[in-house]
Amino acid sequence: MMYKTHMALAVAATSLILGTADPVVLSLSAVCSQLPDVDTTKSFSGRILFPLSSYLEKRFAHRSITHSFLALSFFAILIFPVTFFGYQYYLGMVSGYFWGFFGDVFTKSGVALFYPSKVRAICPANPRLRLATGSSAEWFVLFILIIFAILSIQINSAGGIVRNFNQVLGLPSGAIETVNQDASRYLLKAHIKGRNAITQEPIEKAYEIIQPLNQNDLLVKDELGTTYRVGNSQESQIIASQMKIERVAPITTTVTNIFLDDEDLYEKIAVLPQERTYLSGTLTIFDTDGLIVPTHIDRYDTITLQPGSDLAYARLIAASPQEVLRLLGDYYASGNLVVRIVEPSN
Amino acid sequence: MPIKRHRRKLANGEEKIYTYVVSGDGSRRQSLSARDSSESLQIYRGKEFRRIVAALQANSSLLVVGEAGCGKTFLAQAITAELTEMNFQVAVTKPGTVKQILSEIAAQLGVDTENLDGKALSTMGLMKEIADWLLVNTAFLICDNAHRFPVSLRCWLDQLHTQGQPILLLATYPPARDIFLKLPRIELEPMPDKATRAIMLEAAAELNLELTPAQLSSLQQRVGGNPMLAKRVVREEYLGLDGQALDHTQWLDITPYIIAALMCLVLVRFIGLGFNNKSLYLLGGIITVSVAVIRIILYSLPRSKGRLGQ
Repeated sequence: MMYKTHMALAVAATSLILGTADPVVLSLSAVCSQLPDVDTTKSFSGRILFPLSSYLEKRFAHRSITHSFLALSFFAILIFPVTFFGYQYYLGMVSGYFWGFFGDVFTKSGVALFYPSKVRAICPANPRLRLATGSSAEWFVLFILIIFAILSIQINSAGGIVRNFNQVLGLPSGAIETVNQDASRYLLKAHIKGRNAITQEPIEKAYEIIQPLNQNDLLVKDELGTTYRVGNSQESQIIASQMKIERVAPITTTVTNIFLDDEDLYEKIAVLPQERTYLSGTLTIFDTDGLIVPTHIDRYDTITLQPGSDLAYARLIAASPQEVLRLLGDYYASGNLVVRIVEPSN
Repeated sequence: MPIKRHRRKLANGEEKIYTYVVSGDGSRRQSLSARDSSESLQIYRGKEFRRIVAALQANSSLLVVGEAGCGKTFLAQAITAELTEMNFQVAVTKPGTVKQILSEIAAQLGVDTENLDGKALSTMGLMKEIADWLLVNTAFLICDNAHRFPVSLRCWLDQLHTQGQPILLLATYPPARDIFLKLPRIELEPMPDKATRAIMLEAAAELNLELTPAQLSSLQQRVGGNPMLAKRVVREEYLGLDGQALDHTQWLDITPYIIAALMCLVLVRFIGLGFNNKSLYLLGGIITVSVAVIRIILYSLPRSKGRLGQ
């Protein structure tokens, strides 16, 4: 095989197996894929490491001793100190060396994989179907390998195979998994295809994601700040058939606690930033005269009230400060609130 | 560096072959060997050679088995020379009909091939005559290409073996029956790299062909430890043929192992199933189908034995 083919194969395979797009790892594996060919002075690596290649080619057949699992294990032990710089680098180098000789299995004369045994490993068995070095078939294989390498690097730099697969399919369960992974680091937007659970209207729209509610449902809001529960469960307002997640911006999240002991809610809440602040928790409200919290069927109520005599319990799930002020701002309350403040970092 | 070989006649009448390496400008030369022209070439299968000679001397028969071109005939010649040197009588068979082979043996051993009336003996008569002669005399029978022997000859050899006659049979993968099963066998393994390289160098020197180590190392890929092929690849190079014929038998088709390795990826599907992860399950399904398709394609490729005459 030509050195280019070895390189392309090593890069494609390493990036696929290690799931990496790190240029250092991939270039190390490309360099190491040239090392097995040090057994001939005609090769690239043979010319650089001339004394070694000249020693080897006088004694051994091409594609024998350096193209074997024996040599691979020697190489792996020899470069073990590389783990000091990073395990990925080490794995990249070993994988590069392996694919550097394993690719020759598909060539006419095969590889003595199990040196010192003389047996030459081949695939497929028919020599006419195996590659001849520099033949047009090899150029074709090289072309395919380059496409594979590019695809694999592309996929890995966009978060790995599974994530990309989820994106392509737009499965809601996959999307929620992606949200679970990314929600703490990115501001996410969900492109949702589905229908309104009440009106049965088709929906194709992008919503900002607030948080996952459970394994099946997401809490999202539209540009007006109206919140919806999206998913496949009974309580959802939007039944999603397809959901694709887009990273909008990296974020920093601050989480604080607010303790209230029969205190004015307005004072505590009004000082919080109003944009992308989410309050969760349970509050005991005193003097509930005239307190009404309307419930909606067409949206997700972030504040629900459990009324009692003179006392009421308000349950908040990712409620916005505006909503809390509008509904409960005039009251005194006790309890504990978790405040999550999301700020795009730029 | 080129290798030169010269044949020189010395003053005492001896003839010797000198082989030496000459540097490019001719300033340095290094002798590789100087040997008698009549002396046989170097034996690279020294261990087998000594073992066979010892076995024959111990009155024991042997079967030497190996692929075509692995050096059986060469070994037989060397052993014949060695035994003759030791003043033993040796009969070597040549390819031919049963009658021809028997007459040849009789001639070499000095057995009468005519009866009292001066008529040539029949095949049966020859067989009996040689067997009787071997009962009272010490001689070795060396039968090369024994896999081509017809049943009658093999039965006769079987009979000789039973009467305690040391026989050396050399055969290319003989059928597993009669005499071939009875004799202790030695299989000739592929030669080490060093030996095939030396044979290639000699073959190149004979053709006055200059090959770089890189070329030799590349040609050696097609040799697989077979000395006949070692000479042939050099000859092909000499004739400028690109030599795509890969005739040695040291192959291992790893297609099943590659498929087995790919099949392991099907596990993804069950991991997805186990963890209730729909995407992994789907991805695993796609992998399963791809592996199955690769498998079908690899196994439906035309087999290698598709040529005329094979």
